Amino acid sequence: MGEVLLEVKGLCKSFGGLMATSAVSFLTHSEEIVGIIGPNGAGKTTLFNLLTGFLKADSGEILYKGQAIGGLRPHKIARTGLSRSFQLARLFPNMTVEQTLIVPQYFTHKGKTKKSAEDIQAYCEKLLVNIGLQKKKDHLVKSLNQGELKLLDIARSLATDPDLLLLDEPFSGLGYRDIQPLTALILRLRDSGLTLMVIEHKLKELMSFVDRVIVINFGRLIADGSPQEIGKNKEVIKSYLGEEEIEIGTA
Amino acid sequence: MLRNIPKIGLVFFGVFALLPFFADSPYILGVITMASLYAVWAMSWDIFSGYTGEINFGYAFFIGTAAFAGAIFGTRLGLTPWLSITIGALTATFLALITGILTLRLRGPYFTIITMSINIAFSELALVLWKWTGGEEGISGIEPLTDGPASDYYVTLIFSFVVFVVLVILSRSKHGQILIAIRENEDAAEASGINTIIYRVLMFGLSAFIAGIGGGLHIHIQMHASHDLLSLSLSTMILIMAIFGGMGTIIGPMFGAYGLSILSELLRNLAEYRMLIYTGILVLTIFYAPNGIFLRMKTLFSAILSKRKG
Repeated sequence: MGEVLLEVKGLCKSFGGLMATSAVSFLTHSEEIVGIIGPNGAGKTTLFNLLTGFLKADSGEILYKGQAIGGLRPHKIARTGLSRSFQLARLFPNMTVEQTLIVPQYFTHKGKTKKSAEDIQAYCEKLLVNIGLQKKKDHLVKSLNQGELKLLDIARSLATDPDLLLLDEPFSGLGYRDIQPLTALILRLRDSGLTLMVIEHKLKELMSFVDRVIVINFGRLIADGSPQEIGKNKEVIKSYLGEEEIEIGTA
Repeated sequence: MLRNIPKIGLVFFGVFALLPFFADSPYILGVITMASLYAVWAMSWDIFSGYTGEINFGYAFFIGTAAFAGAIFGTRLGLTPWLSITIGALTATFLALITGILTLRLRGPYFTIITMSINIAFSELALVLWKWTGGEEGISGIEPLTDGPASDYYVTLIFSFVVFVVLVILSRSKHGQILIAIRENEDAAEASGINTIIYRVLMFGLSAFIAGIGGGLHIHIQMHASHDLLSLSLSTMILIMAIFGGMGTIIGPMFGAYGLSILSELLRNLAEYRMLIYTGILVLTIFYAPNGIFLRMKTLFSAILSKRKG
């Protein structure tokens, strides 16, 4: 576990009378994979929206690489190296798969010099191979199936060359055959120096590769610990996981 | 860079460049001169609306404000045509940047309605300020642009060609791709690091600048700044031409503008049947070529060619 990459302090957001995020505080260290779990409507995606500038927090602080990024517009945050995918893939239907991965690279944050066309091309190839979509390179995005869209959305968020990647339910809509290679990719990305935060409902799969888990319920952070600790946490079990202890892949 | 320009477009402008050698009647030259201005407006409308997907229903706002700013400054200060055209175009750009910043957060029908309303408001404002704008009669006594119809013809044709080349290159560059990304999904574009607001505002400004030059050329060719240049019917006409030709292609609106301008003239002798046939053709286009005639023709021709080869 490396140094602190992201520090969230007392983050609050309400919609009308509903507290979607209530005084949430946590740290994320570099080269760590943090799982975020909680029941539907607990405020997980709201948290991602706050971190990436798609929503503005009512109060609280977000420090990324020591810099306050609260209130910045999404493109600015993306350019600082904090990238995200969407729960339902948001892509460019009338562009090709390759173009979709080229566009974000015009704005990558690392190094002030612009990437050459060849560099962009080469990086695209690598991403396509990594994500397993190299055969679909010249296909229009609107011709892809749900699983492919999901993978392409993750590839698009990777094309911004992030240091911290937020994945919103990457496994939803994917079959078992796709989940394994995606898990392997997530681990490879971590090993290459990326930090990840992953919202996921498929607990068994999630618990098998995360270093830490944050549990959110009714907008509040109710637990923060290793997968083993979370599996035994009484409050978590009561509010979310059901009465029985959960099975943990690594246990 | 010129390699990227569609050949059909180059041939098209080439034919028009030779036209005065075969047909030099002022009537024909006058029709094509106006068609060139419509083409300029349809293409510059397209670089914003066709590429960002937000329909500007008040495009005459840019044309008219440029025309009247140019006419007022030109006649009162005795400026040369090129200076008054520049002042007019800059005025339109300035107004576009201000209205752009105020309105570009609006999307879809809300944006369309606000552009329409601004157009109507300024059209009415020009009537209220009749001492300056001449009210419904407009401003007369404007310096001619050149020494005759043939020169006017070439000035507008060359301008239309330059706008065509510049906008095609722009739309096929990285910036064109970025604009398409914004149109396709704004959230994904923002998440990819694109400053969507700046792109929209700049394209709105560019669109207005080109429209403004067109408006300036129009008043100096007609030697009159007509109140019609601020009318919603002009906005509608440009929108129809661009959509008829094919939004988001630049070349489509160019063909659409020349095609419909010439068609409208050809139908002139048919008196009351004119509008009937004209609108009939538009309705058929919407049914059989919803992406515009340009793309329809393209797929049709490539189908014929591949059949021959096969």
